[in-house]
Amino acid sequence: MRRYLLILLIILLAGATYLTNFFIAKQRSFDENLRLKQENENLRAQIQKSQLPLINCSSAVTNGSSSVITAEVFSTYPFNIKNQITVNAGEKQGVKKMMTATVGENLLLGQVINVFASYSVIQTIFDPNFQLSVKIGDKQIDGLFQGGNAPKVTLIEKNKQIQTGDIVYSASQEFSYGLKIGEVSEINETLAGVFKEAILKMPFNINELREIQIIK
Amino acid sequence: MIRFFILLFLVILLSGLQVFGFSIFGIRPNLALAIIITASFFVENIWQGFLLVVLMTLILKFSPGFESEILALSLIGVGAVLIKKYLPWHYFFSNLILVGLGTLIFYVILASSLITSVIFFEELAFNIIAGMIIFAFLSLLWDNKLHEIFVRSY
Repeated sequence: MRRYLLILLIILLAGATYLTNFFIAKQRSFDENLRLKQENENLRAQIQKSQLPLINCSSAVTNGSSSVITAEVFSTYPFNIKNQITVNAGEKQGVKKMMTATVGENLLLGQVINVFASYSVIQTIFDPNFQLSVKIGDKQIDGLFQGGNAPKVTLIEKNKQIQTGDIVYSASQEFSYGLKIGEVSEINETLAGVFKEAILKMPFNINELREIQIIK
Repeated sequence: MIRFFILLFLVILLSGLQVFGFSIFGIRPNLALAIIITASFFVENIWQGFLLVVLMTLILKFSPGFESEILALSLIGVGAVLIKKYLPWHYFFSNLILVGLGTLIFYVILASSLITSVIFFEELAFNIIAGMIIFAFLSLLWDNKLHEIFVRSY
């Protein structure tokens, strides 16, 4: 009798996992300090953006609330091989694939890669497969951003001068121009080769996110 | 039956820790994989093992729709439940080998390009250590040695 009960439970749980869209939302409790910290980073990014040349007039990010969807983070991908989050906004809220996701409208978070009726999945900049063209600092030096646990910018020409603290921002046509990604925290230069790379300090912790924005 | 509830509790706890982003130096150990493989050595029959596997997958599932990662993890867990008794070594070593092998298979199926990366080796080390700790804890508990330790300490 006990065995049949176990088998029934196994079938029910396996059915819920594989045959339905059911998943357990893992929302974290609200933390006022974290929200203030993220707001602070967002404002800092806004100020830094306004100080960069050419970005003021070409920014594609609008401040009108109608062009931005705010969504809550429902769960974070639990393995190292990817870094994605599920948010509680989907087709019904106007979310579409390839839309840009941000933290507080000025910090790049990632891109919508999967949309369901009421949920969406976002590939974040911490994903090892995430890449995009970026520019570094006010001299707008080109580089290639590579995501992962320790995000970095590669393919920076050796003769270009960058320094720690320089901001790195998006310059790819798939994303809004000028969204802050991080700041240079370490520069790695080898004698061989024509390129150098920069390790980045990220302005937020993916595990602390409660709320994100999706730009329409 | 109480032993099975202990295993259930550990699967819920460690899978829960994983989905809430538990990490060491930025690396998320695959605690779910470690507990599910280790628990396979302590279940009374394969049905208990399968129940732990589906429970773990339900907790880990992070979005609506099908996830190949969850299927891969389920197959690794089911595989561990089925083959553990055919392994010739002591259970402790069999467990370590299965945890290591499970981690490798997981990466081969889902992210083979990362196998040569530091992320893989760090996760492999953390998973094996987690498997060792869980195995030692459950062995002590199953042999009532934990009870003895606590009783003697008072």
